[in-house]
Amino acid sequence: VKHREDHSEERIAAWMRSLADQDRANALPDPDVLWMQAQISTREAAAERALSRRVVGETAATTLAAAVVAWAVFNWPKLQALLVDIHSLSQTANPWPLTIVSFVGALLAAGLTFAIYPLLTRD
Amino acid sequence: MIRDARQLDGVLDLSGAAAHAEPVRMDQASFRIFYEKTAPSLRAYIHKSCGSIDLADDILQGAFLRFLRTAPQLTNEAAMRSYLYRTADRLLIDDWRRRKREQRWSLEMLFHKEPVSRRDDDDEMSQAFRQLKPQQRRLLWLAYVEGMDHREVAAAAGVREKSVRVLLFRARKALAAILKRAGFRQEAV
Repeated sequence: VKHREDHSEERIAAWMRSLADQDRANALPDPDVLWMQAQISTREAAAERALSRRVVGETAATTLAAAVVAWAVFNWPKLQALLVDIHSLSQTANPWPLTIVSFVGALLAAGLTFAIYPLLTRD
Repeated sequence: MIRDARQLDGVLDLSGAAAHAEPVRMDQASFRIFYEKTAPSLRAYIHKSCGSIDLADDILQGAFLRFLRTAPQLTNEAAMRSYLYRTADRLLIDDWRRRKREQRWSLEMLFHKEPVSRRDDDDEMSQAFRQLKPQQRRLLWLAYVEGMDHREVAAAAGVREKSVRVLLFRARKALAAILKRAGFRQEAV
């Protein structure tokens, strides 16, 4: 039985190889063209990844800027009162609280400018 | 520059011994040699599975493009061939699904017109091969055309190594029955 099975396996193997040989006459696609296509598509994929990161950053900056503006608009009375308080603080003898507040305000403004800078410089 | 397959042996681990070796850095010359060694039987497998030489070329190119983008993760030639066969199978299935979807929504199906066949090899051998189940086709091809051992066949076909022997036996039996039905001479089977 084992011998018959081996014999059958050999015949199937030979049949499979003859089936594969039928295709040898057809020319294959050029490997150099494939290599170039792969290089181009790899570069395109890298560019797309970089672009998508930039889009995410810009969207976040836009959202942040819009949120700050919206907050300022909806809380304008409170903001106005705060500004008045700050102004009155500046009239007092101790100027340190005003210095700290203005420093934090400057930091926030710088951060916001840095975040929305790509939008401003966009072509 | 690498000029023949013997030189490629030094670049790629053809024995598969270094399973945990450093990933291969393939340059254009070594890719060309690997392609010339691998592509003919891979294209024949795709062609005999789908029946169209144009589609086979498309799928072959798609498989090699994916391979070139991800191959640096692979360490030996057997793994690379396994990857290519798995990718080609996936692309064949994707194409079959796409065509089925297109047929479902096309006007030809609405007016009960027979869809145009893309097959260009309707010889008896190819027809007999296509009557096998996809997994049986893959197993027979990997074992008898590619000459892979059971471990490599298991990796390439996505089955357990212990099952390969039984699955191959069943595939041979199924092919023998198909060939007998198709009237192939006993000596040929």
